[in-house]
Amino acid sequence: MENSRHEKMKFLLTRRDFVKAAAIATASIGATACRKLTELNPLASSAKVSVFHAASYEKDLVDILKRGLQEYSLNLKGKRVVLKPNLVEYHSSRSINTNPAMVHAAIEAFRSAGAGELIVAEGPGHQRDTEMLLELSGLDEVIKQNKVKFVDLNTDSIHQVKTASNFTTMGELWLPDTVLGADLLVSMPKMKTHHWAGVTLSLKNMFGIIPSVHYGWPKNKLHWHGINESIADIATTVKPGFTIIDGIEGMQGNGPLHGEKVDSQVIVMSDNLAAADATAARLMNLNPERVVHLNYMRQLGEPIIERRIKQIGETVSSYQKDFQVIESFAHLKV
Amino acid sequence: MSVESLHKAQAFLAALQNKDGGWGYTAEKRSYAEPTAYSLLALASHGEAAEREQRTSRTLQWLAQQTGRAGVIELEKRAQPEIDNFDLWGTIISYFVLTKLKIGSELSANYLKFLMQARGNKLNPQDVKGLNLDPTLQGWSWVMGTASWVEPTAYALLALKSNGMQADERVKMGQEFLFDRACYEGGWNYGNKEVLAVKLDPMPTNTCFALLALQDADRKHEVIRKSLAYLEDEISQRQSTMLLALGALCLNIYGRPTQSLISSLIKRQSENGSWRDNVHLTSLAALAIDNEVNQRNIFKL
Repeated sequence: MENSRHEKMKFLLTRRDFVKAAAIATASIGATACRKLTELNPLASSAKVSVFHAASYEKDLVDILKRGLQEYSLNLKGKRVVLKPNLVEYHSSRSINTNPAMVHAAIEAFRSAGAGELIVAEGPGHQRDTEMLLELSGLDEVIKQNKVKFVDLNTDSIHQVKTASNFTTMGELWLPDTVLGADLLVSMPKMKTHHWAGVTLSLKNMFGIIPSVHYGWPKNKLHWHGINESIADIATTVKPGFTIIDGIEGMQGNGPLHGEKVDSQVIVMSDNLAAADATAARLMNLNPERVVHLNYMRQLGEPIIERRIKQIGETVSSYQKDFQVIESFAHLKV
Repeated sequence: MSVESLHKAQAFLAALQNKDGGWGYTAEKRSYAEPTAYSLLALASHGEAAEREQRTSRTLQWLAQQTGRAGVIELEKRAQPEIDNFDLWGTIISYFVLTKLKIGSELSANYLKFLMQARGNKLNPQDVKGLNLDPTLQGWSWVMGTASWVEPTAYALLALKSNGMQADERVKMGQEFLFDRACYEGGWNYGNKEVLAVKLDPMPTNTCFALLALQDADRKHEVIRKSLAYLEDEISQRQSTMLLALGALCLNIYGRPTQSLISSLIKRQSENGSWRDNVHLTSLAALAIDNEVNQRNIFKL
């Protein structure tokens, strides 16, 4: 146990150095072959995932996230933590974006866990007008109230990095310096179905780190290279170290923008994004093994199947909701 | 008040020019074509002649250094042209600005050549089922080798039309593309009007760019009328720096009053003269205020 904790801390502490090294064009990190994540993270073959019940955004969120973080041996003292919520479009009647209350709670939880610097960062994929999204969604108020920096990843300085896997033929990705310089990158998605990818959770949320200043609004190049394939290449290259999934209110049907709200009342946390997404899919009553990008992660040795995930907190069956999907994803239904 | 606001904005922008001669989106960030082009425009009348000349010369140096052998601005200087290193839409905006300011003729000639060759991918009719669009229409893409989108197509149309190329076949098709992609109730989304039988909502800043690009089209056309109505309604309900600035420049061209938009814009200005410490937003705001003060609408054909 002690040994595995040591390995995990080593992974977290060296992430920034690793990604920076990858940014050097001459470095050849997996340029020709698809490397297994287990080579990079020896703990990836099994993972712990926490499921919490949260009835609303109104109370107990800070406490829940603090308890969740304690379950993982994250050495955060003095570290730069980048929180990446899902901020896409704003429509007052739809539950599209990560709720700002979740971001507020995450800031407090990571602060009390010793994080040195906290940055909220996102690169909205459709709207160029990030300021409008921040103001309408309420995230702007949370950022000001907590005196944290917000970085628009779409217009940050960027560097080209070789991809650590080759599910696409891109070979390289332009990535923002804020992401490359993070000690811990935290994916904070909304629990939603997705009309092209089946589900959009921690892994798909990473599309938002891809800088539109090069890839455009939308980040159409990723679509041409295959959404699922791009999700996998981004995940293996960027290696976000933690996730907090906002499943208090989810979205079903024609997500990620036009679906219906689901009162799903859960928060999922883990230091393994693929395992967290597999668990969230089960909470949505969808089969994660049939989600293409989760299957890619499984091919890399990531724990998707239930027996390789140590489930803590609430059981999946206690809070499972029957999320509806569009016809083309009917095969995901359990 | 407007004059003071404009001067403060220009001073902010002038101070943020990077050593390499370009501008980043925020302080101490690397230079990109878009904030560089708009800052140069916003500062066209700022300072003494010698200061302006030096600033322009440094910017042209940056553009020249970033322009590769293919005649397109590159994200990083490299020996060989690589498509993934091309800044296509930044090149289009730079062409627009250089020709507007009548500077950098050699660079702009290269940019024009490139933008006339560049076009969004032809779409396979099988792939666009449920999108209700004409796949044969090709405008301009953000990135080489991808589909055409509203905003880069609007930039290209503005740039080419402001150089008298209204009759060019590419311009005509780009215009057709914009009409085809207009949302059912007016306005433009970033790309399509429909996905999987769901009508998409228009977005205000995309609508501004499309309307600017179509300013010489028939103003009685249903798409133009509906889109203007949408934009005016939207801007009365939700505001941002980008929307107020672009909205004012756009509505001014269509003869609508914009004084209240400029007042709202000025109210959002920070003490340091910027809007959110952001070069792109500040330059757009400065251009909108400059139009209010000096009746110089940079987007007017």
